[in-house]
Order: sequence, then structure tokens, then C-alpha cells
Amino acid sequence: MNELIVINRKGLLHIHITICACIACILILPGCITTPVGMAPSTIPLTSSDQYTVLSQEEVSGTSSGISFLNMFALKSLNTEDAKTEAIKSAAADALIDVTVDCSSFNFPLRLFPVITIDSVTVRGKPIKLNR
Amino acid sequence: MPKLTVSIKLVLAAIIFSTVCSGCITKSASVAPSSTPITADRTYTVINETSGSSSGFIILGLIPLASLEPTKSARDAAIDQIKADAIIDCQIEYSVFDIFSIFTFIKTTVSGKGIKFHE
Repeated sequence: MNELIVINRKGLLHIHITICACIACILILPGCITTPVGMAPSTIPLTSSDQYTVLSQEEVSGTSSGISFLNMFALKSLNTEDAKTEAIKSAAADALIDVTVDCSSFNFPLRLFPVITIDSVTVRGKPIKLNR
Repeated sequence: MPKLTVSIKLVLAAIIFSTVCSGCITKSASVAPSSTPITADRTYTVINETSGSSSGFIILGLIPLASLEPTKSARDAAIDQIKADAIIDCQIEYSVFDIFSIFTFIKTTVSGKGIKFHE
């Protein structure tokens, strides 16, 4: 009888250890996820009087990153404007059309309770040159 | 305070574990008038409603097996589905299904009306 109680206690201890290990693993592991932010026909208003040339059918992209501490203090802020400007400048264009924006977040070292969070926003689109 | 038995503690731990670590959520990301510029001199015909998605999953929150450009992939899928030139009345939605944070399924959906430009 005593042996049975000892075995049961050992089994429960193993379950406890397993649960604690699972929780610890999830908390310890960092996490990364990419989410959609939005899409737009163009980065500037285009009217029928605006003629433009698509410089490339391949989309160009620009990225801006930000770092925050404890999800409260921004050590460096990300800026969508910077990402857009980088994408436009990379193709020496005037603007982008068929624009999509995505944001990635990387939490470190704890996924659920991050100390450091690195966010980056990426703007993609086809570069155009306005015909003036 | 009554002393909790080991089995009750385990059940409570399992409930807290599941609550903290699992779940499904759908968010609306944005809306847009069209996927490409449409000026007054460009006429078009609306073909049909369409939607496209980009799915993937992340293992242990660390190893992504998903597109790093989900909005573009979902938009292109929506346009290709009905062989359209572009889409109008666009919406983007984003769903996350988390299983104990071990597997995280993510899905980005772009929907709207497919259009064909007149030559």
C-alpha cells in the first residue's frame, strides 16, 4: 500500500514538472509574427491629369524598425514615412502604386512578457515616375 | 483557507495554462478604395466578388513557416482567383489561432470586387 502511494506521488511529481517545463518553455522562447497593416492604391493622390510611368513591375520595399523596452519605453520609434521614403528612393521614383504595408514584431527574451520588442514596418509597391 | 488537493491544483493549472496560451482572434486590418490607382480616364467593369488569403503557421513562436509579405500574397491571390486586373472596395482581415503557443496559425484575407480595365 505504501509503495503504491509513493508511486502515485512520483507520477504526480512528474506531471507537475512536465506542466512547469511546458509553461517555462513558452515563456522563455522569443516570438516573431508578421501582421498586415494595410494597402493603398498609391502613396500620393493620382488624378486623370497625372500621367506616370511604372519604372518596374517588380515591387520595391523599404523598412523602418523600432525598439521598445518592456513594451512601454520606446528606445527607437518605427516610422512608416521612413519606410515609404526608403522604398521610393531605392528606385529613384516619385511615388509607389499597388502599395501594401506589413508589420513584424519580435519579442525577446520572453514571448508573453517581452523585455525587448523589435518592431519593423515594411512598405512595398511598384515605383512610378510622374511625367511632367 | 481550505487546502486544495493535488488534482484540483492540476485542473486549475490546466485551465490557466489553456486560457493564457490558446485562442483564436480575427482583426480587421484596413480598408482601401482600390488596389491600384483608378483615375477618371480609366474605365472598368466589375467582374465579381473575390477574396484571397495567405496562410501559414509559426512553430513555438520562433520558426515562421508563413509569408513575410502576407498582404501582397493575399491581394495577388484575390486578383488571380478571377483573373482580374485589380480589386476595388478592398478589406483586409487577419486571423490568429494559437494552440498552446506551440503552433500559431495565421491567416491574412483580402476581399473585394474584382475589376477588369477597358483597353
